[in-house]
Order: sequence, then structure tokens, then C-alpha cells
Amino acid sequence: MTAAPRDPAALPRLGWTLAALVLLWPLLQLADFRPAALFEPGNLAAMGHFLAGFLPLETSPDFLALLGRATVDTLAMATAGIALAVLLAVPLGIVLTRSLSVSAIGPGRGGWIGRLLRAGARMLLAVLRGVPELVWALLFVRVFGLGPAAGVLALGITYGGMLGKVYGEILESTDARPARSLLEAGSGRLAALAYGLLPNAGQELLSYTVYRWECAVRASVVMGFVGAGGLGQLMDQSMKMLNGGEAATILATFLVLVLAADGLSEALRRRMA
Amino acid sequence: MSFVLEGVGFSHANGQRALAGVDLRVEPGERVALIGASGAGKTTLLRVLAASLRPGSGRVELLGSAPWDAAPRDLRRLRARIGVVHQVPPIPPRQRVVTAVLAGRLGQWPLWKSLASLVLPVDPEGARRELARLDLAERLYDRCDRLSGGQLQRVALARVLYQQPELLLADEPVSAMDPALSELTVALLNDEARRRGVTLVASLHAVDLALRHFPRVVGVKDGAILFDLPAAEVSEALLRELYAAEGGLPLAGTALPFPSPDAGPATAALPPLRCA
Repeated sequence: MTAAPRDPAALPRLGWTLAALVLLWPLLQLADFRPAALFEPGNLAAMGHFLAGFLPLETSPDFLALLGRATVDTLAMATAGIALAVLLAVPLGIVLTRSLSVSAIGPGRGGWIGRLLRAGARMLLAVLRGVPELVWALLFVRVFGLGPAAGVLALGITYGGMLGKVYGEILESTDARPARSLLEAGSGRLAALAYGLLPNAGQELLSYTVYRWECAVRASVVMGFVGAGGLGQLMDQSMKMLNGGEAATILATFLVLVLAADGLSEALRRRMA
Repeated sequence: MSFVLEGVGFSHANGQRALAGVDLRVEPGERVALIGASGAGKTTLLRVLAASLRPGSGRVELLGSAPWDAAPRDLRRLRARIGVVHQVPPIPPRQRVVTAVLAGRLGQWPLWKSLASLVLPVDPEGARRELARLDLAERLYDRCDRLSGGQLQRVALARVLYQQPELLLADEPVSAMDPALSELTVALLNDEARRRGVTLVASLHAVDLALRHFPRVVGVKDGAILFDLPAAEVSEALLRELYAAEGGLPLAGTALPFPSPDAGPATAALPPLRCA
């Protein structure tokens, strides 16, 4: 009986781990990362003072009515933005998915067209999400003026870039065999997507989309800058007037919305399980 | 003819040779079994016949056309006429049985019909009919993750029957089934091919199933065809040579894979030549 040979992957694994640590250290230095500063007595007092300004929560009926109105506005903008983002992301995500590539199985010719298309889509998605939504918003304000339209468009574009990339990656990482066998039986790409990939990937695609919708609700703070109204603008005003109670109530509203999005995502996942 | 292979060779990307100089010619309506040890190249050969793998060398002609010279659209139409039963059923676990079976005709349906069928199945009766032949009709609206491995393999089979291909290929179609069911399934494939007059090529691990059900048997060894004979002419010596690499030879008497009139399906369908 001989001993099992040493795991050939062990040494490279150790090497990569060390390399990652060596790279991380100067980055932490550059970022001026000093967690100890959080716990120095003077700093603790300053933070406590700041936070104390947020209490008690503002609960006057007038403000709550305003808050309710702003919440509805925010939800509307986030939803419109995500709808636009999905419209952008679905075709681009499908183009990215290699497991839907008929040419990978081998057509007569033309495999390079698919590769070119995928590279183009990847590039386009990078541009869409590489520019922060605030910059897109400031750009669109020049066209649409101050108001929700610029904000919705900016959200749709940036989030379309993120959704498209992640859609492509989710589809890519699901079991490719069902779709491939359908393509091999002469099915078209979209039918193969619907019958071969979506049954496995649908749940994850949906929950990621709901998560992005939740992010869009939070991103409505950006909308405040372009005068789109909603919670962002309300927050902006309260902070400027140093009204901590109002700001705290708005933050609590955000928390409730995030929890609601979480519940919605959970319910949808369970429904689709 | 149904298909012609001439000097077909294929090597994997890592340089391993899977097929070398394969010549095979099969007329419409013929039923051929491929046998051979694991890794002999049966699956690769079937993938070439399914127009899903382009061989590195040689000439391929399937159902009267040359797939690798055809325009993409013609290649797609050709693929829709070839049905493949896979070794591992390529069915998403969350799909319903009815959808999985109807997916057999995606190559023939326009896109709108395929998508509409996801909302409301367009031909549940067609799916039920094929499932009934496999004794699964009552699972029509069940989800596939509630089926056993053998049941899932039968759903995959029902899909290919529903496709109504002109060239019916099967890669170890009974690997997840018990012996009695294997026997029934192989018989069903043969019936289907006979009834519709289509060509059937199946790779089988169980030599006795191959010899009992198929008129023509092709032995594949090391990526080449070792013999191509009517079932009645396959000799024990040939089989010993075919399976020499599997580590040894028949066993003490009882499991010899020869058709004997009294061999019941339950015992006869056990994998062949398993060493004691």
C-alpha cells in the first residue's frame, strides 16, 4: 500500500492566497484604512452627538402625508426605471449567453459573427453601467429639464447595464445541456432559452431583478439632485435644514421599503420554486 | 440512403483520438445497434450522426444532405429531422412533463407557437399519447423533479417520439432503467422505427439486448469499427475481442451474452461480461 500522492493543487492555492494578501496590503494603506480610529473616545462622542440629532422621529401628520406622497413617487420612478432597464438588459443578456450560441455546435460557417456580437454587447453593457447614474441624470437634465424623466432614464440605463451583465452570467452558469440538446434538435435560440434555460434560471433572474429594484428605490436619493421629487428630494431638504428627526423618519421608510422588497423577492421565489 | 460516413475521424481538443477512419452506410428503415466498451467512441459516433459534432476528417451525409456544407438554416432544418435520446435526460428539473415532451417539436414550430405553448400547452393530447406508450400518461402535468431517474429517461424518450424524427438515434437509452423496463423500452424504439419506417441507431451497454432486438450490430473499438454484421453472425470470439479492454472475459458460464431461447428478459438484460 502506498500513501496517496500530495494534492497537486495545494501549492498553487497557497501561492495565490499569498499573492492576494500581498496585493491587498498596499491597497488598504492607500485607502487610509484605520478601523481603530472608530473607537477613539473623542470620535465616539462626535458620532453619538451626530446620531442623537436624529431622534426623536418626526411623526407630525403633515410630514407623514408629505412622506407618503414622496414614497409613492419614489416607487413609481424606481419601477419605471427598472422596467426600462429590463427592456435593455434582456436582449443584451441573451446575446451574451454562449450556451445559446448555435455556432458553438458547429454551423457551416460564421462562428466569428457570434463572437463579434458578444464582444460588442459586452462593451455596450460596460459603457452603460460604467458611467454612474448621477452623470447620466445630469446629462439628461439638459434634455428633459429638472424632473422625473431624466432620473428614470438615468436609472434605466445604468441598471440596464448591470442587469444585462448579470442576466448573461446567470444564464451562462445554468446547466447548458437542456438548451444545447434543443438546439441540436433544430430549435431556435429563443425557444431554447425559454424551454432549456429559463426553467432553471428563472428564479435567480427574478430575484436579482427584484434586488435591483430595491437598489433603484435607494438610488432615488440621486433623483433628489435632479429635482425629480420623491424621497430623495425630501431627504435633501431635511438634511439641508438640519432636521434630524425628519431625516430619521425618511431613513426608517427606506428600511421598510427594503424589507418589503425582501419579502416580495422571497414570496416570488417560493411561488416559482 | 439514410446516412453515409466515409473515413470519418475526430480528435478531442486535448489530442485524444475518439474516431479514426469510420466507414458506415445505413439504408432507410435499418435498425442498428452500436456496442463496445466504454470510451470506445460510441457517443462520439452518435454525435456525428446527429449533426451536432463536426468531424475533423472524412465525409458525412445525413438524410441526403451534407450537413457541414449546408447553410445554417438548412442545417437547422436537418437537425429537426434527427431525434436523439441522450444518456442523461437533458430536461430541466423544474419543467413540467407536458412541456418537456412538447419541446420535441420546437424545431418544427414557429417561435410564437413555442412561446404560446409555455402559457397553455398547445398539444397536451399529443404529449399524453406518447407518454401513454411509456406508461407515464398520468404524470402529464407533474414536474420533472418529482420523477425517478428511469421515469425521467422515459420522458426524454417521449419527447423524441413526439418529435417524429426520420433518423432516430439513442445513446444508452436504458442506462437508468431496470432490466424489465430496458427490455420494453428497446422493444418500443424498434417498434417505432419499424412502424414509421425510420432508421434507428442505438448504442447499448447490454450486448444481449443488442443481439436480441437489432438486425444489424456494429462493434466499436478504439474509435474504429471492429465488426459490422447481422446479429446472427456475431460470434463469441468477436465479443471477447471487443470487450478485451474492459478487463477480462466472460465469466463463469452464466452471463455469456448469447441469445438463448430460454433467457428471460429480467436476467438477460444485465450488463454483459461483468467480471465476477
